[in-house]
Amino acid sequence: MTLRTREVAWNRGGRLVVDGVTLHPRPGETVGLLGPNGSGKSSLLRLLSGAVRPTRGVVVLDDKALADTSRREAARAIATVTQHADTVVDITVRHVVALGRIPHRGTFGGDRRADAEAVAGALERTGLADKAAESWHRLSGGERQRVHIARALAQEPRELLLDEPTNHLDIRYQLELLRLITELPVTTVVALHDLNLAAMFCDSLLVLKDGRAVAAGTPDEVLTPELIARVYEVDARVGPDDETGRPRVTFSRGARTAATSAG
Amino acid sequence: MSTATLGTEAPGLRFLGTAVGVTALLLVSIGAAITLGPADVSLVNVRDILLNHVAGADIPVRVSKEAIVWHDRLPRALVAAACGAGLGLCGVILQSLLRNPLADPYVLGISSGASTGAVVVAILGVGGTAVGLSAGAFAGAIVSFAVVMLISRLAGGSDDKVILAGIAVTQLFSALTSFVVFAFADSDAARGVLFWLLGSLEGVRWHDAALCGVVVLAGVAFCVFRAHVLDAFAFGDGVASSLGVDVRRARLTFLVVTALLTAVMVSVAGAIGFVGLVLPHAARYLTGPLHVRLIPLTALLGAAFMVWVDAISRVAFAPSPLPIGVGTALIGVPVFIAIMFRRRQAP
Repeated sequence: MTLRTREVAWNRGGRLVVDGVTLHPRPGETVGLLGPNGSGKSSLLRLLSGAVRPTRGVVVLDDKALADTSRREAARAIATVTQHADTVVDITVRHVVALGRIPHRGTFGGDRRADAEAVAGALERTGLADKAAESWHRLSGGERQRVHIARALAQEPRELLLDEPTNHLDIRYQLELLRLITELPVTTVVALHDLNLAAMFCDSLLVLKDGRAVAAGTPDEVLTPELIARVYEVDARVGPDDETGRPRVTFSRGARTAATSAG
Repeated sequence: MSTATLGTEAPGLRFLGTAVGVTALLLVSIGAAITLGPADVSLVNVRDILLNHVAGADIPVRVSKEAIVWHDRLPRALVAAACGAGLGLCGVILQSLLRNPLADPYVLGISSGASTGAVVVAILGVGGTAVGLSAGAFAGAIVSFAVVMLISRLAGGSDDKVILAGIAVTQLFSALTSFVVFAFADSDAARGVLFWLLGSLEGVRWHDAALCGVVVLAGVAFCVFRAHVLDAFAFGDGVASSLGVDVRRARLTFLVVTALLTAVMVSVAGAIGFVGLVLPHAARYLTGPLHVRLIPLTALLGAAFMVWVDAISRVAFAPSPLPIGVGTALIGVPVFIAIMFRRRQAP
């Protein structure tokens, strides 16, 4: 039923930015994509969204290749929040969120009540209800990010793809946002930088390095000192968090020891 | 339509009020413009002549006045209105698709390309029928726009590059038009160049009004119907695609519509500048950025605006008429500069 990839690869201008990645989320779960800059997280998300076609392998939505699905049909199932989507249009928060209703329009317009409810609900969930009439250009970076997420929620998708949505956000909104995402009844694939946030909120993790999947599984299985050393080239200790029991990563401030850098 | 997504009723009523107001302004403008000119015609005369022709009334009006109103000033006012609406519509489309508030068919060189195409057909080629001219203008519009996109893409594809490429292409095709006219046309060459480069509504007739009217109305209807697609481009191609828009197809469709509208208007009235640039901004100021409202309002405002610019350029230096593009440029260039300054200040 859900969105998944099979051995998917993308050759972007002669460079293999995604190289044989298989991702098969369970319906409703939150998958964290980890890996250093340039490891292929954004590229994998672009493949999943159908914005680009894979060079090899296949992205499947509901047992059908995404490449054979119309953009509109795909947009009714998959919502995407990319980084740095900006506009020159003088547009209000409510109008940006209402863009999310476009894929649900029929030939002669949308269902007014469903549209209004979806927009109001999305504004409410992202804490933007009192900013609905505000101009986009007056918002802070963090608020803009929340507006894009509200727009994605108004789309009422089954699959939500987020590319580092916590960038530019205060820690309070980072936590609120990830809590919101994990509580949504949708399958979410989210690229994250912060290993502890990923451990805290994600049901499973996929770690990429140089376009290849190097580890996959629950946070407990994936986040080990060995893996962190191999992928990020830093030393870290990992232990269970007092509150959640999930793994907690503490980075070592010293230079890397010979033992781990050999891995 | 997508106005529903607003979820509030009051702005809808306000839009309706604005639309009715601007429609009334347009009708009054057409009526008033017809009375302006060397021959003395009153609003009562205009009404009587219209009733005679449209409603089959038999009110006695002097034949000379009848001829002036019915065969000259009325079709001319209607062509002006259609061109204003069409140019405004082209501006809305281009500003949305290129995400650039300075975009319009004249700035981007599409009008110049259409001029060159029409001139080549008129002077070198296959007869000068309205349809032939329009076809030539369409080919020219497509070629010039392709050149603009190619140059701006090769130069890095940023928003400002499109405008720079447009300026270069405008100059190129204006020069080509002048060259063809001077090299191959007869003694009236200088006047012909003025027509193609600055626009003029001298001598337009009912068949011109019919051609412009039909094409512009069809264009407005199509774009209102597809208004949500233009909305979807607000945050760029990536977001538009994630909202279910087939970006490549939508772009191609709207650009062909723009080229077609520009071609028809240029073949009838020459290249008229800055209307497409200025009017969308005025309309946005009145009704906001939603295209389902912006498009009809821009069309109505553009129509009323052009009727007045044409009337004034007709009578200002009578009996010699001012090219209509002179008036639109005198108004348009300061607005162009103002928008550039505002963009600079924007975060």
